[in-house]
Amino acid sequence: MSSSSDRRCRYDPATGGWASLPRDILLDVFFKLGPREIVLGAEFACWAWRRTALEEPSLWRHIGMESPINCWPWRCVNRDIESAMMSAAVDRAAGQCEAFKGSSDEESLIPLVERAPSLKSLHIEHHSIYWDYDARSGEELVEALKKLTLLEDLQIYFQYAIDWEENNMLQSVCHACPRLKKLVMIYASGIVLELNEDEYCKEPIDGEIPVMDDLHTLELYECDLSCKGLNAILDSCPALQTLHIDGYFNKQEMDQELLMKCARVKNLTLPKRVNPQD
Amino acid sequence: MASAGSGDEKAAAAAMITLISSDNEKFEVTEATATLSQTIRHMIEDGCTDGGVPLPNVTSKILARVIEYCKKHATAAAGEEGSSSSFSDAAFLEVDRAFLEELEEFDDAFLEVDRATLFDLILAANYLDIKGLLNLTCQKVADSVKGKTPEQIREMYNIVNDLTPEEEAEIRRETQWAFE
Repeated sequence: MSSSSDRRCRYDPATGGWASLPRDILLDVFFKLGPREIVLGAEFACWAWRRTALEEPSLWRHIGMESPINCWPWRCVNRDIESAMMSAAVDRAAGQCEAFKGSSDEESLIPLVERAPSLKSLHIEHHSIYWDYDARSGEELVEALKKLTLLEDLQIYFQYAIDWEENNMLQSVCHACPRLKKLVMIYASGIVLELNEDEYCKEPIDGEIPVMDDLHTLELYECDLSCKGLNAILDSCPALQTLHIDGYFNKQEMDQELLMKCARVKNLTLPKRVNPQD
Repeated sequence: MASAGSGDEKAAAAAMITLISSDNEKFEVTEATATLSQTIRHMIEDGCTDGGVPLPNVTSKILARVIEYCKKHATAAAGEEGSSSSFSDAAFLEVDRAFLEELEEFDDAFLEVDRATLFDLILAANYLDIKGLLNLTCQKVADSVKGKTPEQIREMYNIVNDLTPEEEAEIRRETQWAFE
């Protein structure tokens, strides 16, 4: 750091041009670019631009939040590199990271949440480091989520099947994050698991969940919903405005009371198909 | 400006301010145009605009462009205010949208400048504290940098790679993704 003042003298303000852009202005440009663009290009342009990127934690509060539409085809990097980039970005946020969107697995998630304890929004594609197709407990995931006490918005796209005979993932996640306002869980489908639809079971939504006072949006994909499970969700989420469940459900089994409870939810979509194995 | 009263609002809006560029060129603009700049607004409030406002950091070439921007945006702002009472809601929305579209077209055309001019416009917008213009020009830079490699960015903006070989090596270690 001692050389920092000499370094600034490398630029003659009259001829320094773009490298000598005032820091506030360069920051404005960097905010408009977003973390992904910075780590893939702008920060390597010169010393002054790199310093600006490294020394401003607030640039890194929302990591990976750009839409994939903005991703340039030649910028589509593989998952390991993407993870390394995102991990470096989390470090630069110096604990201030509030939103993270990216991939994770059993090994990377705990270090991530420990370095980003203020996360309010977490969107992850959750992989398994093991290569067989056996179902996982998801224990590490739940342990990691427990550390995020400020979390309000959680989206998990599972890339493995969950061993639901031991574990009810929805229940565990609700226990770990009781303050959630929005929860989206996309369970692994036949496509992800490379199985035909009749070879795998959708995630059963059949049990109790703890009371979620603040939850206004719940979306569950690829699941097998029962009336008991639906009842539990409606009873435990008094603030629910949007409920979207996709997979299997038998509407014929709903009684009058359950229909009344459903009517209280403003936006409601339930699965239309009945599990063919029933 | 000397006497206060209900009839003076129009007079205030039509009051003229003289801006003086670094190369001593004088520009007469309305107060409504000039006060898009927070810096000039504060000078007017402090009563230090008699005899003109010297702007030693802005050349006449750039000041002319900045005034062009401020005139357009000041007119748009005044038009929006004026129209709100004389149109029905639907007609007002229609007018509103037309204004916005016209402004957007103006902004796009305004940004068709070489990089040196863009750079000077940014510095002028910063010095004069014109939020809209600063936002517009910074967005232009961000859009042009998007999707580019470090080398392309340097070339585009005439930036000399001043990283020492040691720094380069360190960066490569820390951020191997950019070099694969």
